[in-house]
Amino acid sequence: MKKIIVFLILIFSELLSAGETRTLARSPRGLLMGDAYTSQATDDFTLFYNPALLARHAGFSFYPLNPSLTAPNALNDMERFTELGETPAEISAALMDYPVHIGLDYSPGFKLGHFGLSALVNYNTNFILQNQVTPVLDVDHRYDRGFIAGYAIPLKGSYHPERGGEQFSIGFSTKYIQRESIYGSYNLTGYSLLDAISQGEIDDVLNALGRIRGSGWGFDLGLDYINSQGPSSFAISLAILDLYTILHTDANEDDLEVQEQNLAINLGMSWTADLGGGFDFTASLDLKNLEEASNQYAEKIFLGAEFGLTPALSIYAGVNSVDNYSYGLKASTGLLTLFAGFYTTETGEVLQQQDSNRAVIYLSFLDFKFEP
Amino acid sequence: MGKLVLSIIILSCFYSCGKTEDEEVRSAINQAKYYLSALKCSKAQDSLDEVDFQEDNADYISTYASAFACYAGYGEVDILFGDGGLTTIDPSNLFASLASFSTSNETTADSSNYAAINNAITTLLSFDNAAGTPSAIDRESKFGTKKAGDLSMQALYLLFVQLGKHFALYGNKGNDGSKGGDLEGFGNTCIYSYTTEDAVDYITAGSGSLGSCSAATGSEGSDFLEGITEALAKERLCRGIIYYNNLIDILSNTTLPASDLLGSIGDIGSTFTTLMNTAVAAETGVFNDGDTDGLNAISTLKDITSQTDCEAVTIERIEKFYAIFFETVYQ
Repeated sequence: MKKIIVFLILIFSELLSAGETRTLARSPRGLLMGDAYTSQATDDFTLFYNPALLARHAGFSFYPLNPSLTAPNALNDMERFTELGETPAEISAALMDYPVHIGLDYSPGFKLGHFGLSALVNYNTNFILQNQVTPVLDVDHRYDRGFIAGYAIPLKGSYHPERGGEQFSIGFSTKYIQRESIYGSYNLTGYSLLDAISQGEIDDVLNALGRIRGSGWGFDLGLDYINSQGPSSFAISLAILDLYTILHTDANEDDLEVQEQNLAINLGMSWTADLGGGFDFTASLDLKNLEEASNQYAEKIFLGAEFGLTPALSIYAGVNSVDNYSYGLKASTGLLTLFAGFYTTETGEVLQQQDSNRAVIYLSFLDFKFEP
Repeated sequence: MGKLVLSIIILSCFYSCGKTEDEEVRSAINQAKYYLSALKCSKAQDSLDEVDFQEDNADYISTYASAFACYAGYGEVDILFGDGGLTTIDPSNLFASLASFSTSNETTADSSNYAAINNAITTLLSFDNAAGTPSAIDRESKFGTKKAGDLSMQALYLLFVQLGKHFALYGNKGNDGSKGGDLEGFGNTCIYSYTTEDAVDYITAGSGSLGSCSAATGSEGSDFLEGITEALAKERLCRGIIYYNNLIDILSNTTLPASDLLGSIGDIGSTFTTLMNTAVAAETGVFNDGDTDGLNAISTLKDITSQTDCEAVTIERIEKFYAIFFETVYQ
């Protein structure tokens, strides 16, 4: 009992944190499962979660067209956008403290046996207006292009997606990222922003805001254990993402630096049960960012669930960081797969301080799998 | 195998990284901005105080100044970019324009709001160089054009508001912001009660061209500048000089962005440079032959941007600066 109380105190204590984790591509299925996805990422986004999961793959899978869009869930805050106004005072009042996010992702790729390759085209812009005294626009814009390639090696046992089995694997991946970035704070009525806006052409505006470029290589490592016997399977996975990722910034007049791609150590567990009659159920748990020295343990806990109603229809739900809920569905036909739903992510410096409510929509066309 | 997995998991849990100093500073700033969004001033200041004062970090300085201004209920866009803000400023009648701002409502000297904005201004302007003498040029050398421009413009907006407060109180503004309008019933017609010979001569000679200030009777000035120690009088009078000199320093050494939002404030620098040159030229003959402690007041004070340096100047020169320059430009 004492241990449980101590554990709960640790879980719900509030101390340091670091806002939203800067990730590369995200799986829509993962986002709708509360981002508890480290041991479940066997879709087209495997390499962005855990390269060791490639060891569970067999045959050839191809994902040629898989764009996704993430944006603010405007349904929650329609008044802000309908009454935006024109003057700085009106705009400031409408947008104050509202995290705006726009994400466009395209990650085509393939898997061949235990090898995988994905292209990376990820446009990610976050901004928020804060400080009523001297309104400041914080901008975190990234446009990443590159690729990620990985390979996994079963170290013990054997597993097949259809036949099951028990297997322990290690995987690794390497990535190349070209990053275009705008990252800084701009007083809404200050010199930098007004001067940038006065440039007129959008390219000149972005350059005046401090658009810079950088590139570099990175390396991920993962471990995966899966035990699939009969109708149920259990998996536990550890991903050490960006174990070594260094982005070098091109020379620029303001000596600005592109955003770093920080180390992330994530541990995931999941349990899947085939309930028969086309129904299945998956529950998953992630403990994320274990590398961060933070006492906000609750921020590290991610929970998710999937209810497969038929092979063509699934519904998802999840929760993370205590009260960030997600939900959505997948609808699939032979040539097209659609994910749609809503999720919330933590953006504040301290747990539960600030959330960003978002919508995600994903379409995959013409993906196929060939298994001899 | 199970033991191996468990060992790796446990090791990863213990392998954790603390924040770097840069991350701690960035976190403190972000926290403060979050609190300032809800006007939680002391929490914002507490967040910033969790790290040492970052005098080389423009974002930190800017946010700290915001925390101070927060205590005054200051809101930049509401005051300066809403109705009755920057676009209403008439460069040819600057001080009356500023005194007509809704925030120019002081009813006592050194109020908490006035002190809070003074703290904000001081925070923005005190770290340009080792000497602590504010300079837009030094600011640019230290922080770069963009960040220095942001600090300067944040200070500029605060200076507009603070100059309005200062001259509305000591100049006894009227409804339209004009000097001696007696909106609050203070009764004074001039800013200060002049006793230094050259200052008295100037007020007497300028009767009719200095607005409501038409005679140096010894009791024509603000009660808030009388019956107090010389040190306190110098401190209060110097505030106005320092605010003004820094305003002109910024406007003269910063290329303002081309924006309709800024109204005509870009014309203030040239307008007042001309007026200051006229004041320097006027301080000759009978207006510069009295008490030796009051000689060459305008040329002595016109470029001083530090409160400490100003207070080191004699009260006679400070008095003359007010008589010849401020009584002329604020009517």
